[in-house]
Amino acid sequence: MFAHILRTLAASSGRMIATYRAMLGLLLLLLAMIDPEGIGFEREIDDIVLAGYAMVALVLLAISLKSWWLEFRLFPYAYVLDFAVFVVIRFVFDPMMQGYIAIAVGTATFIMVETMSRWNWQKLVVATVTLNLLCWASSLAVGMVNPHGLSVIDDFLRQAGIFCFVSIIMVWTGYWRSGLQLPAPFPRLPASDEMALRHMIEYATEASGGTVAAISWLRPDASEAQFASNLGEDEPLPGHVPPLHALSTAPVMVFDRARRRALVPDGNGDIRLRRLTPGQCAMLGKVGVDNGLFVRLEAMTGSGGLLIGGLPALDWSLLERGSLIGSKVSRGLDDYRYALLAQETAVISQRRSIARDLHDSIAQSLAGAKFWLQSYRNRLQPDSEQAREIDRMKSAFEAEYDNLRLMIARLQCNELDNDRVDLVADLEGLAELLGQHWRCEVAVHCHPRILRVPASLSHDVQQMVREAVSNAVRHGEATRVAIDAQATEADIALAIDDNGHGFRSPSPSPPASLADRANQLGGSLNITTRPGNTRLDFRFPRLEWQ
Amino acid sequence: MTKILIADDHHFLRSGVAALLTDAGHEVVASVDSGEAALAAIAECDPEVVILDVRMPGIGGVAALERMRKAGDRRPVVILAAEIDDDDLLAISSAGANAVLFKHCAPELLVDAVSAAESGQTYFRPEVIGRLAEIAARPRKVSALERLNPKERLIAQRVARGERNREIGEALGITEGTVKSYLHGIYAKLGIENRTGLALLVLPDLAGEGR
Repeated sequence: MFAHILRTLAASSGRMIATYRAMLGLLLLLLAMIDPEGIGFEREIDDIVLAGYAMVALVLLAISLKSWWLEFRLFPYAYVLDFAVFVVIRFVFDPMMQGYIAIAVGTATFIMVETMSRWNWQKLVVATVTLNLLCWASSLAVGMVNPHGLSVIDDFLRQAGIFCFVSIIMVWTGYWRSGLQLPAPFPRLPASDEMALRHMIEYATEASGGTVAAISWLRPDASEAQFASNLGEDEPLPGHVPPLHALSTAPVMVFDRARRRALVPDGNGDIRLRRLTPGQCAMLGKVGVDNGLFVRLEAMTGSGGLLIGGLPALDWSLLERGSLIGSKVSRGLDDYRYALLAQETAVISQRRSIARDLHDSIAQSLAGAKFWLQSYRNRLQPDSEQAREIDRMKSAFEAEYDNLRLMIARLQCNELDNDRVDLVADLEGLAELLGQHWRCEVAVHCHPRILRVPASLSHDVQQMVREAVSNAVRHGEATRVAIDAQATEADIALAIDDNGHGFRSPSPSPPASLADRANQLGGSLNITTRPGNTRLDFRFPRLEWQ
Repeated sequence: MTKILIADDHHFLRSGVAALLTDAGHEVVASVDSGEAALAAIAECDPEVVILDVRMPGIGGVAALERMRKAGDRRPVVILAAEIDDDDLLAISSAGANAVLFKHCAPELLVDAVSAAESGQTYFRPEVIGRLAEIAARPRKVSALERLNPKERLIAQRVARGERNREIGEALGITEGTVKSYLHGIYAKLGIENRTGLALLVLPDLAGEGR
């Protein structure tokens, strides 16, 4: 029953404030009734005012329980009433009585809490300054005529000191509390995963007051964690740092590597002291952050760790702030993936729609043209020049139709440019197909053995290989084709060698479609040819697609 | 001279096919642009061979063929399509089409296919036979959504539309944590690892529902 009442009251700040007000009203009434000058309720000004305030406070509590709407509408009036009661306590009652001094401090504290709950900490500063000014004014005004023997200055200093102390605590608490309300970290969709992580580093350093940060993030579908930091020259090389979430099982940790000290939450609302293990120290050393904050990141779309260093000061309160930063960063990375997913699904839908349109219009027209041409062709003498012309046109249409079908297939596939595929595996699969199709030997040699490139690049490279092998067999009568792909830090070099009889000219122009494709990828194509060997050398700079 | 009906929603292609077949000595008695129109024209013109495209407005070529066979109409049917998915190819074969030809094949093959069909033979290109054998050897394809229970299906559809767990939870009256747990179950059931995989798997079904 009691727990139920507490839950009901704590369900909203408005109810809690109304409850505090009712308690304050009853306390004030009790204080008035035990006034040594007259025990019990007497028809004196203080008894009447405080009884009235207690009654209004109880009514406001009842309203807050019944109607959140009315409670909100009445809040400004109740707030003014609270201030008015404070003024009455300070100016009308005997401010030198210890009970009234304490209750004035209590009322002021209540008003500050009320302000902090309802508005921001800047409004709290205004309210606090107003309360202090009222306090000082009342001390001076009432002290002038006070018969208690203390000097005005003594009284002023005593009361102003207490009020100042309480005010500073409350303003600081309000400011600290406002700091816990961090903004969302993604105003715009970042261009890449790496940019998203870098954005998170900036966000975490700004939110924590640190100067350096490192983040590692592992998606369930990725083979290795991504790492980013703003450590500058001290940044460890990719692959040299284990995933940061391996640093600790605690969700958040304040650490000092030199002294091997750490603070971690115990999960029951308390904080525990820990000694950093040698493994933890070694890992922190590798990253290059000696002291600061570690936060585990757990989200729907992945997990990871965040290290923040260069903090102005280390203390236990960083644990709460770190948890908040961690949840914001995790949510931000989730938001990024969700936004990316929405974008990808939209792109895929649009691509399928374009593929459908191409299929329903141009592809059908090309097919229709083929039938028409065949019809004309059948009316001509088989070996006439016109028949040969039509055969050439038919071949051109068929080639275009095949290209269009490939384009449609590419549009219909689900791979997007930010999907990475293994070019080596794709080329090996293609070589087998081409070998069967053209009844020739197609061999693939690649270095390294795994070469992850955007799906679109793999598709384009495969198209070029198809065409090159087709040309080699059909025009050069080649029986063997060797495909060699070498990746360096600067580019990917693709060489296609065949044993056909080659071009007539020793320095031929590259086939237009192959050269166009290579140019579109920002690459180049060179041909060297002699009888028995023709070699196409493609180069695709990494900058163009990375 | 064989009386032929052509059903294809692309006028230029129909006229090209008609020209080719006319030159080959056949008579095109009807040229229509939908499955329904094809059925009506069959009743009216009584063609000896029917050429049907697969994708047409209305019921399409596969359904038109199935209705013909269901009504006891056994006249030769040639399917002429740009592309045929596995389900349609299986349905075409089961319904008893006499020939299946792709539009990217050499045009003269269509004349051969019509002649073969008209003489009661079947005319399936080797690549079509190969695909049919491959489909027959595979276990029945069950769509991603079919493998999920109704609640999981709702969640998967919303994920594919780009909704977030919180939004899905609010829409379905469950908590974000419950959505997360449902998603883990869905991932395990479909053998995928993340939302992108789920969205890509479910998208074709969603597109199918939207058709």
